[in-house]
Amino acid sequence: MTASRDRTNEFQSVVQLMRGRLSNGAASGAAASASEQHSQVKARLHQRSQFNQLARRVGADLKSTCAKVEKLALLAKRQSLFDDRVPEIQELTYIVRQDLNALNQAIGSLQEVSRNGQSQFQQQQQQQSRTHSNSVVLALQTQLANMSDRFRNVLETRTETLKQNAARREQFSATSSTVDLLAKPSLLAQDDELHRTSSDVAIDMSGAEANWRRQQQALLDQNEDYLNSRADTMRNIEQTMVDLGQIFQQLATIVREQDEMVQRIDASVDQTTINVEGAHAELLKFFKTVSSNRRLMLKVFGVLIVFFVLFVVFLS
Amino acid sequence: MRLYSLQLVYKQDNRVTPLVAAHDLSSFGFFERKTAKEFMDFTGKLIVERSAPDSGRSQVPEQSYICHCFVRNDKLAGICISDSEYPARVAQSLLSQVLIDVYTCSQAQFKQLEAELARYQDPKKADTLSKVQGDVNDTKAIMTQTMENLLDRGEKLDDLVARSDALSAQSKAFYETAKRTRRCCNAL
Repeated sequence: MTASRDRTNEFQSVVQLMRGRLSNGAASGAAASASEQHSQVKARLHQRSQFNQLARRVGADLKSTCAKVEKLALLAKRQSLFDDRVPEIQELTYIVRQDLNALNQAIGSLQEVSRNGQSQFQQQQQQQSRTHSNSVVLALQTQLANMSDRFRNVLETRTETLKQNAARREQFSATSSTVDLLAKPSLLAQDDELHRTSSDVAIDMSGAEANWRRQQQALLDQNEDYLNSRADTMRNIEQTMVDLGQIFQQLATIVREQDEMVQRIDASVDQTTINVEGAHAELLKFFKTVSSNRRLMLKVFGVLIVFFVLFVVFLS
Repeated sequence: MRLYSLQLVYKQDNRVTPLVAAHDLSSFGFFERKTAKEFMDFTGKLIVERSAPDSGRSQVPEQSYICHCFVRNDKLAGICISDSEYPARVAQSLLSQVLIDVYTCSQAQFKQLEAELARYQDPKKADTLSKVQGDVNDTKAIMTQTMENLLDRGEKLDDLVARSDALSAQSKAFYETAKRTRRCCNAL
């Protein structure tokens, strides 16, 4: 009996630890009436567990976003000429961007939590846990930085591939290529793809969230797409009408210029008619003169012959 | 570019009751028609069941068809199944139009739905926007042709001006020659 040690204190501290781990903020009645050290320990543990859970969540999100970035990289690399999955890539890019922003904010809040939690207590006892939480936050931040670097590289490769594709398309086909905007991403197909290709560790939470987010985005996009396409068509029609107006105006100008040319032609042709008529009259007169000369000649010749005969008769 | 079916359903919580439906099954073989019709009805019902009540417009591609779905705020929903070439905007405006018409005529809905489906088979003629756009484009093409003709006319007019000028010069020369001939060669 005397060999037994009094380990009540140890037992109580272990109980506090377990209670702090199990129940986050459930302040039991016993904790309120416990000694100050116990309440301190419990609050500290509460802070620690909150920090741990937040860090765990952030880590899980980070991993899922990492997987998405990898998938995006794969898609961007394997762009062939005809198998263009543009809408998927765009959506994935959008989602990854949002995830990165959320992760940034989450890591910021994690830092806040770790800083707030430790400012209330004595410093020398918190040294190790503070360094631990700092190193955790640092690790998460470096992972986030790496992932955003990879994301940026993926975007750059994608723009490169797009440029190459456009160049090759122009080379092989004479007509300009138009992006097929009719194939909108569908919700069910996206669901299937997510479940097929996702390799996340935490599938439930972050996968469902991303899926719901994507669905909402896709729905909004489709609603907007309908209205946008109507607006585009209207704009096209308006532009065409403006063009038509300009064409009509040019038509009027050109017709007026040509009117002047027509009048010149008219004047020339009239002049020609006059000239030809005049020439015709001259020739007629000439002809008349020529033909009438004979008559005159006859008359003159007759008179000459009479004179000649008289002269001969007179002489002889 | 075809429409295959047009359905109106009433979506209440998670149950979907089909109201009216019209089909155009002329492109299927005679023995496939019944299964195709059932399949289309079932797909439409399923899609409306799975969409959220305020999801508005959506499109679900499936094999080579696309299901356009429009869920309105007052629990009425319309589904239009078309092939992949049919423009999505026209299908969505068809659904809006049909859902608006539902309130106006309640008795002869079925016949009207068939008529609408038949009318929208050619999206260029039925949809107002497409029609206007088509007309305006045609007019623009005709006007471009007219402009080209006008420019040709301009060229020909230029040619005519030159020739008539030459003609008038030659006729003047002719006149002078005739006058001279009359004056000079009189004593021949």
